[in-house]
Order: sequence, then structure tokens, then C-alpha cells
Amino acid sequence: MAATSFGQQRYFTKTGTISFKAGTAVEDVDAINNAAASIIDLSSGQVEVAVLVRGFEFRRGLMQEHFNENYMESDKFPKAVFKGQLKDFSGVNVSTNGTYHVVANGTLDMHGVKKEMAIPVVLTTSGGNLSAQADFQVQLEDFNISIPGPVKDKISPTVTIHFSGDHTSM
Amino acid sequence: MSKTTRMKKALLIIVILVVVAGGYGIYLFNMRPPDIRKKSPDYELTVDSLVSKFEKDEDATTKAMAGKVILVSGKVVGIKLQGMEPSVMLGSADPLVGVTCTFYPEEKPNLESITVGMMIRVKGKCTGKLIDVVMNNCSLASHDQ
Repeated sequence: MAATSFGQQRYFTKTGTISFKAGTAVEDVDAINNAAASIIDLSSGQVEVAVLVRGFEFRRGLMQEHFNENYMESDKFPKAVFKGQLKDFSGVNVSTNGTYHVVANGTLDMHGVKKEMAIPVVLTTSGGNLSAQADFQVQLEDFNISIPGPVKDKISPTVTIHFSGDHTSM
Repeated sequence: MSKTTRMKKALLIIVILVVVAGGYGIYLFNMRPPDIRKKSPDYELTVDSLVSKFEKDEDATTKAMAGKVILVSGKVVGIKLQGMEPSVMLGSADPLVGVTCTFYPEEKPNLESITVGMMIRVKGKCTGKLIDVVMNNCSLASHDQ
């Protein structure tokens, strides 16, 4: 993750949270990762969020093992990265308290597949810091992640992802 | 022993085996991920050494160390106790890269006496490198007074 390629007004976090829900009515399949890295550059609108796949923690050890070995193949694809550009961000003013609804247009690179996405983001400014939250969904088949027949009733083909991060000035 | 009695005994044994196997299967299914605090480290090294390995060859180091238990020693440059999992950042000779350690929630009381500048040793599972090298499921092994 190239922290030096961004301009001024850069905000970052190394402890962002990414969680996802991939379960059905039959079973909960939830995981969380509290070490996502995120950089937001309010001068250019560039945004980059990266997470280590192995860092997702499940309640059940077997589920975590299958997630890494069978679904995400984390040995081959250790990271998931979103790189994009914020749209309509010029009004975001970190020196005042405010809430801004913007969209990040970019590419999600996960499991060896790059897919264009438009993700709604809520930016909150307070005390010179910048918080970001985003909720979006991905289709597993779009990222070549297949669900074996025996567990088709337990794993949803649509996964809901939540990101939140409190960013400080670089 | 009559044939009927033998069959009943055999059926009982089968039922017991199925129940035990099923119970063991449910136990395995519900088992939590391994507690890293109970594991011996696969590697013991300084923050500088760990960061240097990743900077020299991130792919090879990730393959070698991701998922492994590491005991790392270094200087605290940041602490974040709020949130579900507290975290501590250890600094290296490279001002842009360090080690971010996220701890088990129960470790929070042990971290309340940690201050910036302190030398500490942390055991955790390495998951790779983003901006920093990242370690999860961490616990505090020792710290300076």
C-alpha cells in the first residue's frame, strides 16, 4: 500500500474495521477484521482500503479454516484491496463538524478478480479527524468464489460488507 | 445369547457410536479458533527484523510467516484501547512502517499500563503486511517497567 503516493490532506487508519455477513436463515456466517488499512486524500479524492484476508476472525475455527483454504484461498490471494476516487467530495471540510454522503467509484481486487464498484460512503468530520463508513454488497460468483452444493443453503451468494474507520491526519 | 438379544446389543452399540460421533462432530463444528495465547511462537524477533523481512521480499515473507505465531519485541508508538479489540503500534527504523498488533478483548486490562515509548514483547498471529506488518490475536508477553 503506497502511503507516499497521496497528496496533502491525507487521512489514514491502520485499525479500520471490516465485517461481513454471508449466512442464511439456516446459519450465521459472520466475520470481522479490525486491522484494515485505509487512506483518504481529501485534496484529490483518492481512497484506498486494504485488508488481509487471514485477519478475518470467525466464532468457529472450522469456518475460519474453510474460509481461508477453500473459499478465499488466502495463501494465493492474501489481500483484498479497494482503490477508487470519491465523487462530489469537494464540500468535505475537516475543520468543521459535519456529515457528508459521497460515492467512491473504483476497483475491488479480491480473490484474483478486479471488479468496478460504486460504493456509497458516509464521511463524518469532527475535531480535525475523519470517520468513514460504508455498507455494500458483493456477489460471490463475481469474484470466482463458488459455494459447494452441500452448503448452498448455509452460505448466501450475496455478501453484505461493512467498513468503518476513524482516520487521523498523516 | 439369542439372536434377538445379539441384534439388540449390536443396534445399541451402533446407536452409541452414532451419538458419540455426532457429538464429536458438533464439538468440532462449534470449536473456536485456536487460542494463540496458548501456543508457542514459531518465530521470535524484533520489529526491525520483522519489517525488514517484509520489505526485502513481501511475497516470500508472507508465505513463510502469515498464519504463524510470532513473538515480537519493539517500542510502542501508538495505543488504541477503545473499540472491540485494543491495538498497539510498534515502531521500526522505517518511520513509515511498523507492526500493528490487535489484541484479544480480554487483554485490555493488561494494556492499560502501557505507554508510548515503552519497550514491550507481544505474541500474536502474523497475517501479512498492509501499511504495517499486522499481527492479530495478540497478548502481552512482557514490558519494561
